[in-house]
Amino acid sequence: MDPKMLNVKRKSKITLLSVIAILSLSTIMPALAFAAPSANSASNWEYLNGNSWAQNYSPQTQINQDNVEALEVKWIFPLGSKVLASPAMQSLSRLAEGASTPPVVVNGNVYVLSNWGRMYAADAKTGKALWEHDYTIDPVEIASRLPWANAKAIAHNHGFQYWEKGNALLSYGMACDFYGVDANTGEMSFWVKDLCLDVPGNGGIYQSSMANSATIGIYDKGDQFIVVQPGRIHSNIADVAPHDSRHVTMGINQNAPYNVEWRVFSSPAAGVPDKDWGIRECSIGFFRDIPCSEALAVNRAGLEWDYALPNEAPGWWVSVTANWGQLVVDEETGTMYTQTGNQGPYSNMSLAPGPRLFGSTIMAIDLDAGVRQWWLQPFPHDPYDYDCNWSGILMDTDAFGKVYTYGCKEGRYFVMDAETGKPHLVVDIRDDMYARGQISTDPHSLVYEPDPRSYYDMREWNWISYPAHVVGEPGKFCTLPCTVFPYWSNGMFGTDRAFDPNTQTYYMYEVALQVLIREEHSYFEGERNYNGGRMFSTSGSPNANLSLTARDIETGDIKWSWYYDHSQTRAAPITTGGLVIASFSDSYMRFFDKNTGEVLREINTGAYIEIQPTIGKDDDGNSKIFSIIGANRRAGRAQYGGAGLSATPGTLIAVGLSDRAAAEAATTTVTTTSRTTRTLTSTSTTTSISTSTSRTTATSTTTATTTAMSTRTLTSTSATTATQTLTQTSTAPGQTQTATVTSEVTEEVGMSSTVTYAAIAVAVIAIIGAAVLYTRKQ
Amino acid sequence: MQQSLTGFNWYHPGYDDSVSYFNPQNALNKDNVIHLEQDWMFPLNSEAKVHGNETSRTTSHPLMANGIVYLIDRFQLLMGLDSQEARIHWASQLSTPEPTSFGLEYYDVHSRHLNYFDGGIWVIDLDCSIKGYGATNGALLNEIPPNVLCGGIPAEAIPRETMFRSISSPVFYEKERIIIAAPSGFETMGGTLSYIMGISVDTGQTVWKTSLTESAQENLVLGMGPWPIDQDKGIVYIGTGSPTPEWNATRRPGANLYSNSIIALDTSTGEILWQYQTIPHDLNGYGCTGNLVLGENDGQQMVYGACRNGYLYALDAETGDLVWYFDPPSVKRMNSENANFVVTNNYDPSKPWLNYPSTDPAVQCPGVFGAVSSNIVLAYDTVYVSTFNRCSRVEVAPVVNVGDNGVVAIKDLGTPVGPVNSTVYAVDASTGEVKWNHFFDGFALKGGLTVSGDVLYVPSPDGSLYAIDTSIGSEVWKRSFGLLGSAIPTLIGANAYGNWTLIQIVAGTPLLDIEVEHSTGFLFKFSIPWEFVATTSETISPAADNLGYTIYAVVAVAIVLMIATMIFYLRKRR
Repeated sequence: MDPKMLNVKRKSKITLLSVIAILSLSTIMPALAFAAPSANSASNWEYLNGNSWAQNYSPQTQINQDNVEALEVKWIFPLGSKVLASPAMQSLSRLAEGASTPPVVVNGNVYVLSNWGRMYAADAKTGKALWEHDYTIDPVEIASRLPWANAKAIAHNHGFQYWEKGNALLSYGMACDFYGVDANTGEMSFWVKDLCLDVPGNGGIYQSSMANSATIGIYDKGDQFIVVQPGRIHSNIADVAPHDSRHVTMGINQNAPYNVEWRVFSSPAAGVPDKDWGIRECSIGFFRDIPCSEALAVNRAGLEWDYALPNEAPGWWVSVTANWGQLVVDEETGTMYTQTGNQGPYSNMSLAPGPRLFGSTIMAIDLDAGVRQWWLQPFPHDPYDYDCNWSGILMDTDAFGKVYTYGCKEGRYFVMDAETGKPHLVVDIRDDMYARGQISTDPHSLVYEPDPRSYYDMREWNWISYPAHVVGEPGKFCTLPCTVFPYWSNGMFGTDRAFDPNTQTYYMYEVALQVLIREEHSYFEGERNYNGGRMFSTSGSPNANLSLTARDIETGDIKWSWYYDHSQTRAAPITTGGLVIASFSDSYMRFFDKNTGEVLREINTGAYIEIQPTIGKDDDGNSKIFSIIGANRRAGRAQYGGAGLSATPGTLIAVGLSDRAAAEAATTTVTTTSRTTRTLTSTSTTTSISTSTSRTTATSTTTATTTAMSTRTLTSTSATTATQTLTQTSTAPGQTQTATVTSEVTEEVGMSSTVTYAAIAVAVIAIIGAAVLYTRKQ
Repeated sequence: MQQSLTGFNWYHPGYDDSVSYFNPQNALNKDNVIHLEQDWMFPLNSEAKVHGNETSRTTSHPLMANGIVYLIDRFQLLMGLDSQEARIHWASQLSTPEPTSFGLEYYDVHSRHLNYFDGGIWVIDLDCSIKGYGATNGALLNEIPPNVLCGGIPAEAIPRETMFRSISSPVFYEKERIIIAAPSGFETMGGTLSYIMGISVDTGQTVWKTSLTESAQENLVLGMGPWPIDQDKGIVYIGTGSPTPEWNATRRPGANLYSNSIIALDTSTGEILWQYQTIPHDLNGYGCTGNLVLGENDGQQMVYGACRNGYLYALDAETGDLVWYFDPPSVKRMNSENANFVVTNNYDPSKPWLNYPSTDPAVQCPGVFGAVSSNIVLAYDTVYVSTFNRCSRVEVAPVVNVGDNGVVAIKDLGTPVGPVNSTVYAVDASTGEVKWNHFFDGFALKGGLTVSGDVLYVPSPDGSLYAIDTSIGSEVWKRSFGLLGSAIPTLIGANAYGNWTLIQIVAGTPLLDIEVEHSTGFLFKFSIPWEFVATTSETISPAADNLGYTIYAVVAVAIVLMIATMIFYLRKRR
């Protein structure tokens, strides 16, 4: 062949290969970018639970198993008392002291929001105050204009977050509003008001609370904020007005004038008889792992006329309370995942029987269509307040693909298909707790779980000791006084959970708090059931312990657990740098080896901690752990985790490596160890076939470009049964790489680096494939 | 041999009866201080509503006895903290009279020091009672009622607007079980509190009372301290403050005897044995209310004291004669001529105010907080003193009524004029010569110093604790706590398990130029890991141990001889 022609052919082939590579990259990159959570950064902690998928995970590695001994308190930042709030704010009922939001970390600054509306910004490096912003309202003016009341709400705030697109901190207000504060200046960027004005089907009064949900949902692709205006906490207890308000989730355009683009309701319209409320969306729902359609087929009468007596409108106190966790948004699919609080009236259901949808319900909302995509109610017809009170986590799993994982107070967690809500896995942690000896009585005997296929269970078993009317009269489930497990105060999981995407491990507390019900005060048929806030006379259990547990996300099997004998906690665990970091009521911040559960370090902060830590970097690139300590009610209810009712202002502390250790971390060599090459084959009940290749997990003692890359392709097709083949490859066990640190940022960008490496790997595969073809052809 | 117990406990506010602020332990020292690890942090009185209920009281200097740390927080909560676990072992709320009870509209009175005596933790409470609590359980062991210490105050006495005042801890003359205490720290109009008392521990009765003013209309401040006591000779040494009104002396001509003085008192009788007045007729609001230190120099007993005028004085403890003085070269001086008496041996007893006859505002250097506002330390034949420059603008006002303070706006006195900086000096205790100095720019070092293990610990308003080599003045370690400054002296001791421990209170006290009034304070505990501990040991049973060494030596020699013999034998056979 003419050499020139050969060159031309070669050039053509090179060009072709390049095109293939570029096409491969351009095809895969956008999908991968949206397939990962946003804000998954080693430097920032932007959302309540870290990233947009609420994983309580940070890819930073500067603080890790090998240097955890060198951690120390770097600075302290005392928070102010609520007496600094404006007089108008102080006129609000039960304005809480302290702060209960995990600190947000963005671009070297750390932000805290107090329960009484002050937002603080401080330099993450020094603790120097940068600015303060005070939220304030005029309750009299608000009440004159809106269906809103200065209620007996517990005005504590579960969380706030950063919105990168607008460079603003987002928070709910206390009067049907939410607002953004400029992250640089502390000035109000925008303030969206009157969300509870003209809500269709609302016949009640919204209340003053910052706890409508923990955070504002952010769906940038759709230019939407997602906000919730809920009914009241325990509904009839907060009896400041005759009617409870209607739970509504709204899509709000991110641009002025911030129009409402859609509404999804989770409680029925007031004053309107609605036979089909409980069955209208039956085709997309589950009661536990029972398809709603299956229950409907055998118990239609039990599901109809939800919240109401037949042919009547729902009662005065019908509604659903707040979504307490982070609103998890999947930018790729335009889906938001959330879960609701408990229903009203509480706890006598005789005027409002049925499954009481969509209270205490996990759900997905199609943000583009503005409709509920699926729902799963773990505990239909609930008299206990086993609501779904914290954040769920969106996960990209080896075993099941993309799933949403959450468990409500009653003690089961569900690994649900993100698209359909169908549970891949249901794990009842009560059995493990019983086996471990955390509780001494068979947990299944301490609670009655209504069956959605039973008419009696859905419409006639209307209070805990039913049908008893007085103490001592035999009840179907229990005869008062009787012990119930779990106690509804914070529930079985107590707080948020964490997920390590590298090891596919789910970290959670498993809390053994029980309660003795001495008397139910309102247990008469037809009882309107507002009794000055006292539904029960109860005694807390002296048995108040928990286990911090690591579970395999695929099987639910326990990898390790660590027992804590003293109390519940609301300070959720986070995972980062090969560690699980958790804080407890005994003042200790503990650092666990994420693989073994070994306690590697304890730091005694001297004050009760009930707010989860967060982690991010200061301007020097040094990682710091941020925690609010001492913002709590120290006496009385410590074993219950304080319930966020803080009596003290609290203090923000920053924990970081000692200067010496930080310097060593910046100059030391790198030792990288990886999991060994292995091939797994498993069978599951998913409706997909997934083939994935090359997940590599590596831990590094420091920062380098040589570690941890994950490459993965996933294809799925529909099938009734599924076979999954997972091939994992990595460097050989024990292999040690030594390299001088070159760039911390390049190594610690987490999912972003994963995406990059994945794209490169695909390109390489494409090139190799092309080369093989070319070689074969020759 | 066993680990020495020297330095395990910090019983008295200045470590010992000499108030040296020197812990002689050497396990934690300049070679291993860099290995200190933080064990815990304890927020002080987090129940308090900090903002909106601000106080300028300071947290007391802590004590440490048998593994328990004792202190009084800014809200007068006396507590014993388990130093191992940061748990409140016991606590007792001391009295918290309303500020107006004493007319303290600006700063609040507080109990600056605790003391340990006879198994108890003792304090002078703000209601003038003297209380002793069981060190192990917090039980109230003894309470001297308020009328004993403050009974001489007329009921109609009117409080006077004043500045920062604190009450020193009681001092105990062990042989006769006498409490030596002074109520000053409170100031009144119409009833002087410028006296010192000896009170029986066992009966609560007054043993003696020595007044330092001639009439009930006169006042001079005592307070602060702490004061050293010579238990063998029965002498207590007390520093006094400035006469009042501080900045307008129109109504107090003369030397104003006993003001700005170092006084030796017989602990049995209260008799004044001698007095040395550092500043006659003070016009600048200085004083000598910081600690005095009792020491020895070539067999001569010495008393060392630094006054707010910036001079360090070394006196013969027997006679009160001046042995030497040290004039820190870094301290700027302006409109404070009478304060230089030790240099000039001259003063104007009739000058009414600092820039008389002008009534214009004038700059005073050292400022109203003086040039020394820290305790001094005596260790390794060296006196360590921290000085600062922080001048003040003073505008004198007429004194018409009793109780007038002689300035237009007392609150404005705190504003600094000119550059602010600090210099720590190491001064030869024998000669007064400077060994070294260490400069800090931008802030005034106020609070306290500690020496132990060849390290001078300097808590600083810049948020750091500095560890300085006592021999050469170089920095060997520094620990930042962020932006909350520190002033309360570092405490070195050992916890109940014998782990060497460093206690540092961060914030919890007003600091010049630093906004820490909003903070209740935080207690940090550090310890040195065993592998880094220098073995300091002492022979407990010398005879037995020497015998043991002798036996070992004999055995060793025998073995060497035997080996040598074998070698010799084998070689010979070849």
